[in-house]
Amino acid sequence: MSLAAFDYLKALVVEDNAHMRALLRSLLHALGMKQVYECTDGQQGYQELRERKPDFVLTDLSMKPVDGIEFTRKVRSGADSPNPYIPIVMITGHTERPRVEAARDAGVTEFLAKPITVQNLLSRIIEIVDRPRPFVRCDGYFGPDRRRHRMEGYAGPWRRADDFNDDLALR
Amino acid sequence: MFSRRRKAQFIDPKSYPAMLKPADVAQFVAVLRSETAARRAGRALLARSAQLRDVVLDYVASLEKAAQFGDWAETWLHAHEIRGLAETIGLVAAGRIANKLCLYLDAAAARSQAPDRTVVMLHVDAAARAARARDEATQLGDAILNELEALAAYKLGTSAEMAAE
Repeated sequence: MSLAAFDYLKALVVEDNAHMRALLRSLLHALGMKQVYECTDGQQGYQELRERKPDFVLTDLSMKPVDGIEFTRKVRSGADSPNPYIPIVMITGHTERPRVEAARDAGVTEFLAKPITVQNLLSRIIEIVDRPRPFVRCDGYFGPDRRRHRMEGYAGPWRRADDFNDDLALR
Repeated sequence: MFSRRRKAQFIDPKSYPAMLKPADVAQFVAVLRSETAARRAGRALLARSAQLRDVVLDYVASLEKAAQFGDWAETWLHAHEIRGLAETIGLVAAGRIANKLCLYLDAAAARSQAPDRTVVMLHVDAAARAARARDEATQLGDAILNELEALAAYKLGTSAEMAAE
């Protein structure tokens, strides 16, 4: 089977830099994905998501007026989100490491660190297809399970210190 | 009375819409892992590299102009574009220096300080030299980067570690 066999896959690229968008488009085309939709910020991205119904999203983090974090949050939890489970790969520079945690908590599936390389891009696409993440719905979060490793033998429902409200405060 | 949060609900990947039909996953992964895929994508990246290098050099020229005029907002914008693109096409030092310039301008703004012109110009000159000097870019850039970090920290009145954040 060749790359052309998967030309039905639709990708959405949300990136404010036209040159980076063109680069990502070229890479995805080279991988056989001919339907690549592009937009320049999260607001447009959400509209495109509703209209085009892509199979996965590559999004930048820093964009205006709506950045990748807010975009991801809306995709995951928006009342009118067309696909809250869609894989979202966020492209981040080393400059943005402090914000990666916020992006993870918004529901990003995978991170693609700059500088973008062919191997990095391929491995992230393979990851979202080959090892789809379980989703978690809990107070304050809906998105891919943020823990990649399960604790063997742990049967309890509580996984985080803040799974208890207000540190067991008396009410 | 104690209160607890709602128990987390786990949703198995099999129970939500998948990107590909299960029968196609193995083939898709095999195709992406093939040499053909890597070669084709590598060619696509290479085909764009020369053009992107020109784009970065254009940004560098705009950065120099903005900095000379003391337009710090424009300076930040051009530095931001450089840090986003330069490393992808191998201009590692230029990308890192541009990043440090953005961080310095952010830090100065956060402290309601006017950016120090000398600090900005040193960053701009360093980024420009690193972008234009392909081969020695990384070595030259790294050495300059360390000096700039120390200078920026001194001007901001903080530790070098803070400036490096």
